[in-house]
Amino acid sequence: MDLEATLTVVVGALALLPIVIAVWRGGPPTLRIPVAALWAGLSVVAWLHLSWSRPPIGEDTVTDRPIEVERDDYVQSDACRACHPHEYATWHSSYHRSMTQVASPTAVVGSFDVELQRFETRWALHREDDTFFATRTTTDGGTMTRPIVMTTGSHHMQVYWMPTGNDRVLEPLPYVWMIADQRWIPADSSFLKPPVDHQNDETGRWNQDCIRCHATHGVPGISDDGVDTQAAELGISCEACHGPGAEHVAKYRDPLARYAQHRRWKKDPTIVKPDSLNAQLGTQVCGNCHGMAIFPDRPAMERWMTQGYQYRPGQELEPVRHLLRRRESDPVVQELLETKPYALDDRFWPDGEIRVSGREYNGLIRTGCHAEGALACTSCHLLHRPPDDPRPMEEWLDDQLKVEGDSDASCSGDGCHDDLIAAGAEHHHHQPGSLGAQCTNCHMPHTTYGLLKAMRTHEIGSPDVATTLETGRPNACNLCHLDQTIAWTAEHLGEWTGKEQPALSPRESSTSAGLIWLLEGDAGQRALMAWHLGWEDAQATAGTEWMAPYLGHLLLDPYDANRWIAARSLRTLPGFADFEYDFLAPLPDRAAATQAVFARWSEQQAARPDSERASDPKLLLNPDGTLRADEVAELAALRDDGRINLLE
Amino acid sequence: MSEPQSPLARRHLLFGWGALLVFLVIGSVLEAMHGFKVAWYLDVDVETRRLVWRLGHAHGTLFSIVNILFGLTVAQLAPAADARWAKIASPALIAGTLLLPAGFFTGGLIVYGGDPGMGIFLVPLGAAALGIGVLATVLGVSRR
Repeated sequence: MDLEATLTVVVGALALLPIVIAVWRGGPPTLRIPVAALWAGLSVVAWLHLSWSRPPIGEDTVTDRPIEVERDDYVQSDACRACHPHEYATWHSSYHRSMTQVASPTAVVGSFDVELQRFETRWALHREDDTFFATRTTTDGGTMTRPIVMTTGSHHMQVYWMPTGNDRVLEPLPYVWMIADQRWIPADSSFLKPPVDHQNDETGRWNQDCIRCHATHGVPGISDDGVDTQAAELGISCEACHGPGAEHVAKYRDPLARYAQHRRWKKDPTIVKPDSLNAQLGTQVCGNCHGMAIFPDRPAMERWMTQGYQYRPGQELEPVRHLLRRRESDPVVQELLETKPYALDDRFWPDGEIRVSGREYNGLIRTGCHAEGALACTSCHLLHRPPDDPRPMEEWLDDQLKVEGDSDASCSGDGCHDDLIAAGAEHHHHQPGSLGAQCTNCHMPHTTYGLLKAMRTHEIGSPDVATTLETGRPNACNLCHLDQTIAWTAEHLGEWTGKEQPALSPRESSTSAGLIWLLEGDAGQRALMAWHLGWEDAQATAGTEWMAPYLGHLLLDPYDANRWIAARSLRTLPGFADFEYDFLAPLPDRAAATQAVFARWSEQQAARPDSERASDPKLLLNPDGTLRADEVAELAALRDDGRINLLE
Repeated sequence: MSEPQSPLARRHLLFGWGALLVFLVIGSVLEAMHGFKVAWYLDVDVETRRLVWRLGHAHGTLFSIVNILFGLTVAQLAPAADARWAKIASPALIAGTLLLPAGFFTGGLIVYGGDPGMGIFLVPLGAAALGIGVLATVLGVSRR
């Protein structure tokens, strides 16, 4: 018997009983039986209806996906809401919160009325009431329909997870929904990885990998007894940064304790406030997820499998998690390389700078401003939007930056670089107020890659030609001055810094560095260039007249991701906003698209005979504005087709 | 109804109607803050202020009416001037009607996230006073 339904009906029936009695005693005799019967009948119908209504499914009844469980002193974000409504509200609107969600009509953003074909498998997606389904049909005609039970991501793309029938183990739908573009693309294509000709088996990926950072205090629960994956909370919630809150919540249920704390303004030892920690410890809170770390030894990994990470915010990160650095001499790294020989190449530039996104901590700790100074994540970023923030919510949500967090103000914080900022053009050698005068454009260029775009490195440094030549990592100067040679950069840097500049090849002195990376570079360099040709700061600096044929060239790149990025950049160019191109179309169709780009660009060139940049030899253009096709082909033939698989 | 003979009844009728006028004005101010979208009252981060001021307004209005009802009750029952229950209930009801809304309103001036300011501690005092007043009235009326 449903106790709640019974109690509700009994109370309701008793409340109506006086009316029935009044009618029975004083009403017309003909109404007595009908009123009493109506009262009894309504009570029974109400009880039956309430009893048969399906009660909401509690997490404890779910068996086919990872579940939320309050454990190890984690109490979940709902416990924070009553006392911290503003902080709760700003977190709730963030992409951290919605990083992992139980699939529901509010969580799912993809279109579930579509059929998709991937290799030998057809996927039909549909929705029934509040449940989303994927039906797989293989070439032999076999079909299997499974519900979507969880989602990952809500900012750039969304991934969907299905139960496998094996405990709580999940398998992803092999397509991801691109939110801005409103279309499905194969999951493989959303990463910068060599082309594949078959569907990789990603079963268990969430249970073992995504759970590390896409949930709060995730516990894979993988043992000989099965897979009982749990998390304190799906998504990245309050306790991911503030630590487990049980003690804090218990203490401050007492109003006297709360008001004593309100009046005291002293540090509260029951909870961690990352911005109150020193720069190192505070940054490690973010670094737990925004850093590339591995297990220091096998027992640590086995402990994680059954108990989750032992690191708690406020503690030193390194004893618990071994930060992955490009140190071949490190025995832990050596052991990793034995099983995963590309583990470093897939994540780092040759000099050890991280080259994949989401691992900003690896960059920051190699930066003097952090290692020897006070720079922390919270110097520029703000995880709770202040009430008086004048920016639209969407703008804050994008990178969760402080107001002007990406401006020079962040570098003058605590007076750190006031002298350099005051020096103005003597330091930055650009027009005051121009793009080149901004600290970040020179010292944090977009040299990391992830989510189908380039992102700013968090290893703050200065442009250096020798480093570019040694590592292949484009320098800040040539990422903005896309039309200039690396010799041009060397000449200016030598003049400004007095440093001797390295010897350069004739090609490096005659051809735009950006074009060399775009045509001759490896897939990672080509991805960065494809993105930079669509970056409005670079377009404003280097002009756009010459870009179309090179982006057209990238529409034939062997890497899916590069073709996607190139098409997106192409559509930012004047006259190409409506350009139709499918990066997954068969090769002949893509070749036709490239030809169409050339044709449209040639028409544009004919209409601007006097434009210097449209006939710049550094951009492999003839004086008449036509392309030096032979030289382009010569460079393209040198393309580095070495394996690139950037593990974001 | 003839003019109440009891000074006590008259005091509560005056106090109740007067308080109702005050809370009518306060209600208009709160409405105006909605109308002019005053951030200090309506922003998401001051939900606590909005809540406790709404509570202050609602409780103040309600207890103004309770005072009027108390005045009418005293007038109806025409108690002796020295009726013990009325002497207890009268100051308790007036104190409660002042303390409880005042606690809500001062508690909303400064808020600590989900907690109102220190003024909120007046609320339980006011509630206790009102409880005493109502209890005394119940007992007094029941003994008639």
